[in-house]
Amino acid sequence: MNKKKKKITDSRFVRVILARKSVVFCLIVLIVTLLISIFADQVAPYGYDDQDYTSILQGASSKHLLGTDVLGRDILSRLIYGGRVSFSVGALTVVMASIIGIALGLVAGVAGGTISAVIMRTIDAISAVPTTIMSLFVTAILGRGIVNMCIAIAITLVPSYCRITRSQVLSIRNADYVVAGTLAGNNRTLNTIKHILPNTISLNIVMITMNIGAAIMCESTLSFLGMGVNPPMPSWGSMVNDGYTYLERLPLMAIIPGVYIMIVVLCFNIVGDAVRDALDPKLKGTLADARTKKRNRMKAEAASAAAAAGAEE
Amino acid sequence: MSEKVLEIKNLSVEYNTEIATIFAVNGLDMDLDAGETLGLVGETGAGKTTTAKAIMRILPEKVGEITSGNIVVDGKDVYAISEAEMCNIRGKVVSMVFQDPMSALNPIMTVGDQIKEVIRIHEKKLTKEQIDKKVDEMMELVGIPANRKVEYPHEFSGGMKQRIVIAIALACEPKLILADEPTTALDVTIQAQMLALIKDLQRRLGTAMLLITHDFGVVAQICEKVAVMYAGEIIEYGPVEKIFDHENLHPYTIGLFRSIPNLKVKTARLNAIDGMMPDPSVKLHGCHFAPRCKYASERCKADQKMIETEPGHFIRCCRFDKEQGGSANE
Amino acid sequence: MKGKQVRKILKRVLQSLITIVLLTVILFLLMQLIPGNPIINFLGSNATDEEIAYYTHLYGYDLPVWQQYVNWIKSMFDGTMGFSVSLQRNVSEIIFSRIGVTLTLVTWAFIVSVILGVAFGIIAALNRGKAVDTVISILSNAGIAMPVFWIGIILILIFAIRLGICPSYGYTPISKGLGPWFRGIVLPVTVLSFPSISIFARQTRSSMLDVINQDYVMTAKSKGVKKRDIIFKHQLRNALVPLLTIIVNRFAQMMGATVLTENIFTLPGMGSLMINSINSRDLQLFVDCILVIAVFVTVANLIVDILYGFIDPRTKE
Repeated sequence: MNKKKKKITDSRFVRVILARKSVVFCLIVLIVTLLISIFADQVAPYGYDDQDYTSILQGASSKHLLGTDVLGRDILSRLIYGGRVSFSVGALTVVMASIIGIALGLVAGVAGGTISAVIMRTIDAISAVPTTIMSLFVTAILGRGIVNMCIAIAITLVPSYCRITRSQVLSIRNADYVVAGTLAGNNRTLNTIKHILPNTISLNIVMITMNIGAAIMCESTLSFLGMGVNPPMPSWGSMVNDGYTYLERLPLMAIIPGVYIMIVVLCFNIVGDAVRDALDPKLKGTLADARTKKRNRMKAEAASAAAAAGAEE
Repeated sequence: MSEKVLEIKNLSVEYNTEIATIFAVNGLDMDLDAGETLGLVGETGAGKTTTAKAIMRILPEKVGEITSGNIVVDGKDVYAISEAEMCNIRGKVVSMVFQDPMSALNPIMTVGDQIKEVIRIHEKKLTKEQIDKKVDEMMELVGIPANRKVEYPHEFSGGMKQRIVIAIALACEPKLILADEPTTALDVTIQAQMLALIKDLQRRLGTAMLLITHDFGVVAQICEKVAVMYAGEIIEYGPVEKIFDHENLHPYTIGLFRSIPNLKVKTARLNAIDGMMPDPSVKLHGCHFAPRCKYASERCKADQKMIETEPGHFIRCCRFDKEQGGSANE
Repeated sequence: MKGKQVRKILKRVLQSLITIVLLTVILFLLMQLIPGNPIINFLGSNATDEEIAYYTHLYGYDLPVWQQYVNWIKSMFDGTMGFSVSLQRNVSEIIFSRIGVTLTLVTWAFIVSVILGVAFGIIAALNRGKAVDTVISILSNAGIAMPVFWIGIILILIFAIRLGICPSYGYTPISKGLGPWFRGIVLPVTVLSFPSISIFARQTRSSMLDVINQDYVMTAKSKGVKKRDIIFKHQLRNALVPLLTIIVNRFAQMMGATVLTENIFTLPGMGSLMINSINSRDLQLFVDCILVIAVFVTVANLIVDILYGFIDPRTKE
């Protein structure tokens, strides 16, 4: 028997995700949007701060495909550059929030007692403040800028990572294999990292993918309220706000960035749902799983039939 | 003899899922007299539960489909009447006990309310007090103090939950009760208790019962007749004594008996039946058991009839067909 | 049993109190990090050093940090909630004059979104796989992804600017008549409830589908329960159990979203007050607003936790 090459499509995770056409479509949209904003310098027809005083507040034209704003800046170019803010805030925020949240959750779950109580009550306190308000408060303190905005949004996301990690830790803390790790002579920190942490990862990955959309949404909200990046750096939220002023004259200026936000957030949410379903052990053996299995089986049968036919000759 | 409470003629059920069509029941005939107990035996996936759900008309909507045949319960064709009429039959004329008592009760309703619900639906003439009294009676009947009716399912043990499920099923004194493996999820000690309870109540109320199980021990204990089901068909049917005398049986039934440990005979290994149940997504022709049968021959490729080998004992196997030179008795 | 329940509720109340106290500490410490000073902002850039020193002393900003904290907590209990430098009034007066609008908005948005969201969710679940279900799923997915402020702008564009049937800004009290009040509030309430309707619809659908094939639903069917009773008595009630947490969480998020809604429609509520207080760097006022909202949220959480005891008997122990 010759060794089979392990293909990427053998992984259940990839299979389930690729089984849904809508998810593949969303992934493509996201990748294209991401690439466009990364290579904004090459793609965008103008710079984000190129002011053209001869055409101010113009509608769509061949020169400016989506028109210009009050300073004569090309809206399409600003839209393209604006993706940089949204994507980097989205990514940076979930990374920060998940690292802090998972760490706190692990400590609270493993240590228990007073330490756990203090952590969990603090988490409760933070989550008693609605996310919009909390992030607004933190940006008011730290000031504008991408990193500050990330910190502000991350603080509102930490509680969910912390809670989910802690409850996962509590549910496996006394599992035999974890206890066995202790008996094998690992100290508590090492044991936590080796045996408990890996078991909290998949839930947290689901959370991370589900949260990117929320983080981008929060970023656009802050930007809309003027608490986001420093001008003239464009961001979709602040562009909606710019357009709001000229709503009567040039409604597209406010509408288009909003559509952009919606599409990106929607795609992230759909991908997030798919990741959740793919990693959810409860759903093993469902439709997508069965379909691909059946396809593989049929392929195998066809191959063996062909081999048998070959042998007969 | 007495009247029939259940008559099934040529029943076929398919499940149409997005992946495949599953032929769950294929041309099944069955009938049951009033007060009679029939054991329906077979492996998991043979179509036993599907048959019961078809009788109750609670097959999963849009997925489960009756492709042929009809079911008559107490003189009414179940699939010829309206849903509203069917609601009057469910719980009143025929009721069902499900396999897993842990999940068969609504977790956020008190057990008393759940018993009360079925009585209120079907006994419209009773006053509130009478209904309450009936609930108490039912609880006592299955051996649970009536004062526990205000408690919720999670406050009871598995065996007690199953008692409550049985109380619900029997509350309106139905003519037929479908018990779908009522004891499988319970401890062995509780199983015996539960069987005794069911048998006792059945005798007292004169209810007919279709007992679905894969356990011959249970069948021997409380059934009068046995039907053995394989891949959507009944392949053997007869009085319990005839089946348990182990003579002249369908090869599959013989296989089933061999796979039960026998304490009297010293065996190194249990005899399993070779092979697997056929893929239910393939429509079968001929004898469904032939691929696993050591007596299989060319004749088995034809569709098999039920053959009455002795009075009341039917076997779906051509080896017993004397007209065609069956050889099993020789 | 009874005593056990009471003790559990008391424990939960105590926990909520601790949460609030901790929150005051966190907010206060964060506030110490703030650059800029409400006094400089209030006096303007022409103020002399003496003036600044005078007012800093007057409002107690020169006291040690712990003393400031104690004074702040004290002010919670004497009914003033501190003094707003920028508005030159007691914070409690300001909040009291503003909170009515916010609560009206949130209450209506909450009622609308629970009713519509749950209804859409049930419809989708009962028609799984059909066109209705697909339409509801697409709309709810889009609804979650639409920024609140953007929905507000679109609605203003359509109903205020193009059609002219609703005002684009301002709040009309109900005392001026039901019609004008309704026209003024319908757009903000729609904006506020839009994401929540979507989320409730999605969650209701999925938790209905979770219970639709449960064994106890089969038991209910085989008891002869009518379809309508199965949906409402057996499926929906069980589906609501996990939904409750999400519903109360949305209540909190709606309180937050009023910041945007009130800002867009220029309504005189807590949300616009908070934005104003940031702009005038009057963080004392801002923090007090946060605290008030946090108390509402915590109380809502508390109520739901207690409700759980009645709705889901399994949590009683």
